[in-house]
Amino acid sequence: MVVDSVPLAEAAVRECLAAWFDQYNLAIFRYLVRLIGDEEQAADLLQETFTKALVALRTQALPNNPYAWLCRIAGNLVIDMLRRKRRWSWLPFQTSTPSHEHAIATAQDVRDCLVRLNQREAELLVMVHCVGLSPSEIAELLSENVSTVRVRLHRARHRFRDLYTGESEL
Amino acid sequence: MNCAEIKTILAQAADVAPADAAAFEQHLATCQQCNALLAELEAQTEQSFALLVQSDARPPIATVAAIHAQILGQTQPTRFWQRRSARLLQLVVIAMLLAWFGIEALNRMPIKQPSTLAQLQTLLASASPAVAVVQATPTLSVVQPSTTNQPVATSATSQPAVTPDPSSQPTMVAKPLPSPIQVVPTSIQVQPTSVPTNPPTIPVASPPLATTIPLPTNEPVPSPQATNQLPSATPMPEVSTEPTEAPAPTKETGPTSVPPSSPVPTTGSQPTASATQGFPTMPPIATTVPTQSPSETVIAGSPTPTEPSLPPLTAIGTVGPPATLTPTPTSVAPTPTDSLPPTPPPTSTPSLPTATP
Repeated sequence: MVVDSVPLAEAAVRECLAAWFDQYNLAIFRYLVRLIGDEEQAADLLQETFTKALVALRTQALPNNPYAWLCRIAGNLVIDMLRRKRRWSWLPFQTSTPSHEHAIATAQDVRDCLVRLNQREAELLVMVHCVGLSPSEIAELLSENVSTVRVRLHRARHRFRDLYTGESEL
Repeated sequence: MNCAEIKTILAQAADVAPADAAAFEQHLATCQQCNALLAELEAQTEQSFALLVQSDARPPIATVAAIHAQILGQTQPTRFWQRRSARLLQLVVIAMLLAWFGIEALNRMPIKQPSTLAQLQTLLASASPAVAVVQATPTLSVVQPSTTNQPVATSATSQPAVTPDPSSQPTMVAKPLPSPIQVVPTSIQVQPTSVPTNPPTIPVASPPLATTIPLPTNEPVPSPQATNQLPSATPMPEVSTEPTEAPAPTKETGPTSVPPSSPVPTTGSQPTASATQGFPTMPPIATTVPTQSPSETVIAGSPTPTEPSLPPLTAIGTVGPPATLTPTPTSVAPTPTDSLPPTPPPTSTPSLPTATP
């Protein structure tokens, strides 16, 4: 999946990343907004994504699928941020009662389920269902076997359904 | 691998070995039930992720420019204190500092409150006599004289002030009484106070400002001493409704006793209730002079614009030519003495000990 095994020079890396930014910044920004739900935080994460990419490209070769690679970095940043927000979220004073409004699934429930999954499973689900990558693309991006990626993807969906059903039944 | 093992693998959390993954793929190629199960899982997950609405937003131009410049190395990456989380942290720190300073300021603020009843009594005792009189119940009683309330001679009066002996004379203070007031002529201690009053001073050599007051001819003109002695705030005589005879020195100067509520025979107005209750009031002077009395006594006070050709005026109590006998009523211009109560009956004057002009 790597074109060149030798890292490029600093100037070349910067020029390459600048070109990727001009090409994918809008798509990655909307991907971040979809996952987070906040444009301001998405803009912050967009800057952080390319900062991490610049640091990573100094030590590794250029990826074959830069969009998937950048989306993976952005997705991991989103999951980390959602976990921090969930860790410092306020607790309600009283438990919620079953109601019609609570039965309606919301985007926040999906984010909560993503947070409760482990990092690799959440990353797989995001790349498949948000970015639209295929298992083979993910396998190429992760340098793993396609069969393994498929099994992990099925397992991640199974756990996500369990978590999501449990969230809806509360 | 069978369907049960497939479900077991799905429920596991451990990593999948490549051999197990291959066996999993082989079973799915032949088992429709497991394929249906996995397709249902994929549909449910896809339906759940559809709740994450696609956005058409665009990144801010400033952010795009900043990131582009950062990638090209033209600018430094955003500092920690310039980020949003850092700004929130700064606000939290500032709020905590302000709260701490506020609490410290409140703790260092002294609170002055009278702690005991003794301190309150001390404060009340140190108050001025006038304030004490105002706060007292407007009834009369006799108490022993106190050394704190020394009489203050008024310099505004022309008559010499009577200086009583505080050690021997009782002092009148306000005190509630359950029964109605009985006016009993007793010895009166005149204590002029420092309350600014408008005494009906009758300067003998007062020039043109004068007010004519009619007096009955059959009654003697009250002496200046009697008219100038004003009832002070604190000393009030015990009075009774029973008419008693006044002492000898000023017995013939007026009615012996007058109930507090009875009308005063001299002038039209009556003494106000405040006069009987110990408040310093002044006897009013009649502004409209009736012409029924044959003789009049002129009191210096205000000019009479309607009678510019009046003869020289004479103060009350002095021997002089009679006033003008013009039968027309004269309206006297209002003077500061107009609002005063009528001349008090000389019931209390007999007991004046040393008030001699």
